[in-house]
Amino acid sequence: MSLSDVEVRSKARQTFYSIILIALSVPVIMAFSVLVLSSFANQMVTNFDFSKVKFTLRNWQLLFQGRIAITGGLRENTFLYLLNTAVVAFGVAIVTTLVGTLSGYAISRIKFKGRKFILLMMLMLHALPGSILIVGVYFLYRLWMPTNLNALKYFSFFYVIVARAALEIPLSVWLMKGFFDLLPWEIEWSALVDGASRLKTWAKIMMPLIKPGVVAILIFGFLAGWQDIIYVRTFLIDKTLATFIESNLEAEMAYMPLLAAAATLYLLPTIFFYISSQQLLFKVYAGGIRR
Amino acid sequence: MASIVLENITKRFGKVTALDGVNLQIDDGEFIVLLGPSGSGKTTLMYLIAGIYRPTSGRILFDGKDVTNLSPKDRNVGLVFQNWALYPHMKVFENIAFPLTLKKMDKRTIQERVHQVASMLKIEALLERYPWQLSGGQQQRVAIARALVKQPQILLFDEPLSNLDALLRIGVRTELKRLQKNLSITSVYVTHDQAEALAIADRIAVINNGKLIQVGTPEEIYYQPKHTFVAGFVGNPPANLLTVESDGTRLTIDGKSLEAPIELLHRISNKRRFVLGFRPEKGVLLDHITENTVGIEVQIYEVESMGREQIVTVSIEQTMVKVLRPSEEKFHVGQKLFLCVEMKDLMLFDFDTNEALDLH
Repeated sequence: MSLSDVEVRSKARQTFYSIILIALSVPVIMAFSVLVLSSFANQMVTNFDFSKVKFTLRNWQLLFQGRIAITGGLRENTFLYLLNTAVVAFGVAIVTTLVGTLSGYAISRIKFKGRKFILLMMLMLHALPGSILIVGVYFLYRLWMPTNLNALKYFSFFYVIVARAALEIPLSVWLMKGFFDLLPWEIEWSALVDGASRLKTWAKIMMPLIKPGVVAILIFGFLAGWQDIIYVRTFLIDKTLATFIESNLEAEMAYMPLLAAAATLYLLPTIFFYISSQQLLFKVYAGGIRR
Repeated sequence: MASIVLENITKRFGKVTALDGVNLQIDDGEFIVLLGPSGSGKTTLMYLIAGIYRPTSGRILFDGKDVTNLSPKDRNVGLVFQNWALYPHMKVFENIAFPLTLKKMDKRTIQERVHQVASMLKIEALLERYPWQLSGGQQQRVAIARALVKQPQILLFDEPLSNLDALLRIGVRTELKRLQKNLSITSVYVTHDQAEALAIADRIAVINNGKLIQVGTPEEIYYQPKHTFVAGFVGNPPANLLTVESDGTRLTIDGKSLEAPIELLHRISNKRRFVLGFRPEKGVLLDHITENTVGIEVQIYEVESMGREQIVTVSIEQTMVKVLRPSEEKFHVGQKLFLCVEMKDLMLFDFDTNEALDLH
């Protein structure tokens, strides 16, 4: 249900706000359009000189054929990188959501010793950037690392997902706790009296009621996994799109328009999620759920 | 169908004592109302019966079986919450069917039983709607249907009518009473509305500050309150309570002196100080004191019409007293009259303990 705006704002003011918002978005939109345009061109269009620019689909063809360098026969498996990125992203999303919703529920609803302490520690953890923690995280990685190379490959996926999710979990636990706090106790009691166990109540009654929040942290988790480079580069044996682009940027003979195509491909899910979940994110930030 | 026994129930939340040594026996098929002001512990007591809370000490027995440590799902009770607590993401059918699906009943049985209670509560047409598409009264029927569908041995109501508008409330009240009598399910009903309690209950248990003050039929609660709290809480307006000083021959009420009838002195067993109470409808306003009454001069303070009756507020000196009179009698503000109450309508309480001195 949407509420219509109370008509108290003047037209002039509204126009004023719009102008500011548009002015703020211009640089961002420019940057993105330069990137997307370049991915379809024979050279970067960064200087806005279109006289020498020819539009072509060749960059995208080359990208999917994995022919990264214009010269030389080196082939890369772009599809595999795409798949790897997706695995990491979905992995982080699922782990974050599962841990976030379960512990958010517990912290919001169940009285146990150390609840406040856990909440505070979570906040502390959230204050530290992932790059600071990486030495310790790497130490643990070495400690548990299997020696078998094949096993190591799978372990590295597992590890990067769990480690990256751990960085997202504090925020999602706090967010979920907030959502669960808003649900009236009566609904939960009602389910318990109706014969549900605590876990059933969580799954059948509580979770559906905070769907916007759950979807939000699912998306946050996905994007965190999708955009991560430090953890992926440190731990993952394979490449993701991020490390793939990064390694090619460093190359001497980097063919920029092709990398622009790779970057555009890399951007798509982010843009897609932000556009499709705009309404939902507004709801989350406003802290609202329909009762 | 079950009897309930509460044995010495005490419930503390941290340092706050919500219930203090409550003993209550509820018979099979009885409709009992827990009446008390907000914060008195009545809802806590009901949640204890439901198993949502565990008592700090004491025992709860259903049909003689100790259920004190049983979780709510194993108690087979139905609960109707004040805000109805329907599951917003489920349709009415799913809401009502929820307790049955948890028991993993087969679909046919679930269908049958949901339709059965739905027809009983006349909500069959609403089964495919969501709770937010229903009016308050309809939501409430759904909540009752959900409580009934599992055929509970005990039904609990937590102020189920307080979110309905006044007119609807009276209608639903009647239906609830009929429904309970037809099904003869032991029911516990929590309310702060004394009129509701008087109308619906087989027996009323009055609770204040976590203590059970009086348990009795609506007539007993109304006419023979055992405590000034009950007298001052039940009735609309509630009973008037006046502090009276006695010197053995004369009484002093609010600075005014009057002769003490021998019978009254006998009833208070010559106490120096006591609390005198009477129901507003038992007071008469006349220009003289009649025989066999206690009468005192008063001045009309304000008159409020209620249609059929009027509430006449009169002042003795500082103290205000409310009297309920038929609309035909005419009074004007400032008029001086005598307020007379028949001896048999006087309720007398001990000044220190607030307990009734004699019950006649």
